[in-house]
Amino acid sequence: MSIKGLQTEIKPQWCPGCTYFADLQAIYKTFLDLGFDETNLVLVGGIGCTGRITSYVDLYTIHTLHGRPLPVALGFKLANPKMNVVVVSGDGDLLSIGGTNFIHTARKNIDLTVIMFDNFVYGLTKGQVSPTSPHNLVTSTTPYGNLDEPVNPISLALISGATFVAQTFALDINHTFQVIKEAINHKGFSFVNILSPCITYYRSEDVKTFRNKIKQLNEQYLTDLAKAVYNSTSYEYYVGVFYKVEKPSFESYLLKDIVPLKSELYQKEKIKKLLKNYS
Amino acid sequence: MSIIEDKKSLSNVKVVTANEAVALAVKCAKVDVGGAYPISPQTSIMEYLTKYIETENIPMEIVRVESEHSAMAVAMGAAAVGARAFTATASQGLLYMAEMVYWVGSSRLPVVMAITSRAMGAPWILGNEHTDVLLPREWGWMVLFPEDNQEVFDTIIQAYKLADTTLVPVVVGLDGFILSHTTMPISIPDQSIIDNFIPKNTPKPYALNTEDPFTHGNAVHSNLYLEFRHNIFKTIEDSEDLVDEIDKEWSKLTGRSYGGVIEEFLLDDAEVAVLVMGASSGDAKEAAKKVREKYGIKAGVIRLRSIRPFPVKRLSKIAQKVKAIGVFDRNMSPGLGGMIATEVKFALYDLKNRPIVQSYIGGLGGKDVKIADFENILVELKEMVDGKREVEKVKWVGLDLAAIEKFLEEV
Repeated sequence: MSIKGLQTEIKPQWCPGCTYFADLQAIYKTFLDLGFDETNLVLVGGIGCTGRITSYVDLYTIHTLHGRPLPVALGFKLANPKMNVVVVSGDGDLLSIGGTNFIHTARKNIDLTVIMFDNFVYGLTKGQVSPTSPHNLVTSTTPYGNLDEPVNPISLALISGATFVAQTFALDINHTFQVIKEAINHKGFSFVNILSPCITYYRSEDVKTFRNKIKQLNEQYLTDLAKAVYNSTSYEYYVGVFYKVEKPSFESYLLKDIVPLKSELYQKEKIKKLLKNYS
Repeated sequence: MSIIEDKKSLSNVKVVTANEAVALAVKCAKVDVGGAYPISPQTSIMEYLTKYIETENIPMEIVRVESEHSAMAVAMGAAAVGARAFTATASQGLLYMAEMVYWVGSSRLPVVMAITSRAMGAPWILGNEHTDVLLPREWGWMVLFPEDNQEVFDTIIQAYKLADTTLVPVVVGLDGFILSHTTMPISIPDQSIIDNFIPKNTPKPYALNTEDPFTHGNAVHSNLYLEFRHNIFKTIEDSEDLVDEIDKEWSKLTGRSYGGVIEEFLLDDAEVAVLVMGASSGDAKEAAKKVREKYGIKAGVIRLRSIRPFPVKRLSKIAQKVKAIGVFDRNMSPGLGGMIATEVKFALYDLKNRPIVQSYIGGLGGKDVKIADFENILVELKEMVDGKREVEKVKWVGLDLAAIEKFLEEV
């Protein structure tokens, strides 16, 4: 299979030059490399510019609503723990309206991978302040600059109980690909934040200037939580794996003797019939 | 009086979208606190307000909260200490906010909220429909629905008068995209007129006060709850005249009257009438004129401005004159009918000579409704009056079930 086989007929629609195109490429690349198809992967999306991704990947996907991809993904994983469940959403969805879900799903250490496209604004509603907007950032709801301090996604994931926490930069597709692959292979709640500044509404600096701030993390794969948290607060734009520990995952406590739901192959005709019966 | 004739206020004419009209009205109402969370098609209301705050230094504070639930919570906290509070939302945002909306309604806190109407998922949909605006009518809120941008501005001001007088919060609904993103001229009255119309220094015995501490919202037993609910019911029921009076008072100050709870259009001699809310009313009025010209059908329009209070008294009077009412609902009560049609039937059932009431449902999810559709409705109503057509439980406007077949073939 090639990347083409993972693409739908719908052409991705983001602003010209959007960093999300790079994020999507990294995701295609990972899914291809791991051999994902209809039998072994569910992709869950939330709301916002990132939410569009469920239309662009030709696998089982669900476009959930504001802030809710994590509990929906949790339901999927418990119903069929053999499936890989990957959540792709943005900073607005996961850390704002879905903030509590993020904390409480992470602390369960359920075997999900959460990939966050962090563009520092609410992009789809045209550039309002978001939970990761830097202090003083000018947005359409903060014309004289953001008064709040941003949420640090890496620190939040760490102290919430995620067992794999990493950060990458959108334009380094190869690195993002490697890290997402590791995250998916990690057993437990894994979180990858892709720094993807919005090309249209993140007005304080362009992507090139932003790129100059990106640095490789020296100490990777820490198992010392305090050190990882220290790193996350000290180096905002460091990329790499901040933390990785092995712990029993949520479903491993619950589902030892439970037979998963029968997984059936994707059958277009069957779905059509279903739609006809209920529409 | 049109804006152009209103020479006195010509200097205050602005060409704005309905969302900006809402924001201007909130500014003129000197609102103290608002909670902001973006959702289409409401977002620009809060953007305009943040712009006024930061460029014109208006004395309002807006909290950029993390969800609609908190947006209403901020408004609730502000209102509880006697501040003037506002927020706006739409669609999914209202659904997420619902817990707080109900609580504010039951707390009798005079918050005003704009809802730019939008259909709700699943599936994801952006188009206009009225279901979201109508939901708070069951949640202890008054619900008003203006027709155009000028009326949107005026209704926000009137909503504060209504809320402050009754201690019942008020929703002002406006058609998403059709009004929220459409530009029209509006006239803004002198600030002194608004200040006198909705004074802020009125006594607020409910406001939390550190010098005389008491509490809001504690648990009660069943010996009080039914009585609290009854009082909310009565206050809203008894507000029908008040909505009329507020409209009249506003008319004296600005020359603009909208008929209070209902705008009556060509109803004096009408035999058939279509009942409609919001921006589509303009199309319905055109249709009434056209069927009068084309077929000599005596047609009129009942434009419902107030959904809570539901204008039982005024509607009953109108029902004595007309022989058939077609209620056009841009919403639905699944399996039953249009939400407003079911309420109209409830309101008129006890009349001795009640007219035919036909429920029409259409325009859901932003589907276009045209003047011709309203012409058809009026012609059908006339046929029902003449015994040439059966009345049905529900009639659907613009329904094309073949579209699903076509879609399934293309998938």
